[in-house]
Amino acid sequence: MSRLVSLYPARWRARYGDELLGLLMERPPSRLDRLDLIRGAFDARLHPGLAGPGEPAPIDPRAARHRRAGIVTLVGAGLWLGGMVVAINGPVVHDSWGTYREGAAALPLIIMATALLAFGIAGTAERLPSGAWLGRVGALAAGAGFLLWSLAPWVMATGAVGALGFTLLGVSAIRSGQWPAWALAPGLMAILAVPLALSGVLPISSTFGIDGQFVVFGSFVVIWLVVARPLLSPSAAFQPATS
Amino acid sequence: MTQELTELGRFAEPSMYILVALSDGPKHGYAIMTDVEAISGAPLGPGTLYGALARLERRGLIEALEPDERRRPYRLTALGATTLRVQLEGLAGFARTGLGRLKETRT
Repeated sequence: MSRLVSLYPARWRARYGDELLGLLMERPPSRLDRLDLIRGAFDARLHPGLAGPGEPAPIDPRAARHRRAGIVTLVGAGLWLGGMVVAINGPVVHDSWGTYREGAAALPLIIMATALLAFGIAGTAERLPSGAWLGRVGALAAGAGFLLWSLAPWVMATGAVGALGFTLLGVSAIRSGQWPAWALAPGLMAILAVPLALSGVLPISSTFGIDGQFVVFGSFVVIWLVVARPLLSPSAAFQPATS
Repeated sequence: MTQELTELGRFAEPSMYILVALSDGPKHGYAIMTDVEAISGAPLGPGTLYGALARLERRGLIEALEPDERRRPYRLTALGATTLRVQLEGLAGFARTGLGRLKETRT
């Protein structure tokens, strides 16, 4: 129900939203009522003056910033996948390291994607409650660790720092209600696939051959999506600071 | 001075029903909705109800009272009462004319 009311403009919601929600609680909307509400929201957006002569509802400047961070993070997700496509089409090299696919051409896209992820991570950290310092430390570690790892993906330690930071940030975001309880799982599963593939527990190489590493890294895109989603959603639990 | 309800477009008819619903005292959204449905015999959607309430309030035909939790009652203003009276009298005149002509046709 609140999702339907959220279709109305902010000023309209500030004036009528609460009582409309109360009405919908008293009489749960039928399918026709839902259509009527959508039509009403469209009408309210066409006639913004209907909500009264008052000033528009104050918009927290951080909300717009977080939305931009969410969009930027989504662009990063696209760049990450693009990087994997470039990498998977790289030349096959035979040298003393063995036979592998040269993915260096993808590095600029991968670095840019990871830099854009840092915006989403920063936005997520900013939305944490003031006492969630561990989450903020995690955000710093995640942003820096992932970025350093993208510059030199063969240095796994930086990736591990990023993963640890991402976990701390995710736990804080879940505890504060910003992320749903399941949100950390897809990212951690993608990250855990690296050691599992390297140790042979996951039969990535036998299934995908020399492209296996890119399949695993490609799945990292869920990290971008998990970070971006709450930043783009106005209904995510974000209480602007009152101070 | 009265207001023309016809300028409310598709909200004109629901607005008239809402004014009638409020003519015997203040009511909140849900009570207005059920009363309008009883008067008109047709369902009134919540989007239409609040679209009409906003327009009526904006034109000074109704006013909002202090809310009781999430229930905010509305009442007819003096302008709203006058406007409703004029509208109903117009309708009554229209009905009288129509009925009179029907009677003439039959005779």
